[in-house]
Amino acid sequence: MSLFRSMGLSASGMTVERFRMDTTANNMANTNTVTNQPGGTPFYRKMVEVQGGPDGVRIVGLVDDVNSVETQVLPEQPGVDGRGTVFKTQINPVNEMVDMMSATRAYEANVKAFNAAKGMAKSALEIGKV
Amino acid sequence: MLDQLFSPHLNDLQRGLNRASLRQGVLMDNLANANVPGYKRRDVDFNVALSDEMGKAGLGSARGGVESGVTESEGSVRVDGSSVDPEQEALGIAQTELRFQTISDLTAGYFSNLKSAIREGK
Repeated sequence: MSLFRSMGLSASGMTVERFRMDTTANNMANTNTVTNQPGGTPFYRKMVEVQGGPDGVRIVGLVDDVNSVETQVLPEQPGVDGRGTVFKTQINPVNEMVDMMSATRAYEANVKAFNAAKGMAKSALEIGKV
Repeated sequence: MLDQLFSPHLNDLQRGLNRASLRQGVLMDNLANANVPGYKRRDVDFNVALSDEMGKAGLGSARGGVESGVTESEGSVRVDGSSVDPEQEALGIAQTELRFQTISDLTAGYFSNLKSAIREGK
């Protein structure tokens, strides 16, 4: 039943792409996140770490983009240090849109591969039928 | 008399069909509950369960052993505690569909052979 195996590989790809989509959407949602509470931790743009292999792909974890937070001084705010220093998350919408499109297309490609394997298995059942 | 007419393989086929439709129901249940926090996905291990069923062929009814094969997962893949991965469920549903179709084709073939024998090959 090795066609089931190729369907499993496609399914693992779909899981990863859906997770990438979630991550990108979360990054976009945090475009204007400002951390100004004492002791607050800034939101870093998240990137998905994926490991490939003979058994499909799997999600290893999320990696922070350390260049995605910049420090600003806004004297009217309490700030993280009491002197108006805030952490502002910088998200480049162009990068996020490209990631989103690539996740969508890769998901579609996996669905196509999945359906192709399923169609092959179905036509294998037709062998020998009159 | 009828026992001789219907071969014991027919019971195996019946168990296989029952098992496949049970798994299909369980997997669709998982998909329906995918967003319920803390939901633990359930599954029917087709290979192990069917060989168990084959081992005790002829003992008990086909329905008897069916419910016992449902297992609940322990881990969870999401922060809300749900352990449903929709793509894996879709994979299982596609596999089960093909398995059901295979067994149902075999069953249809068995009956068409039987019919052909009744009609004396005509």
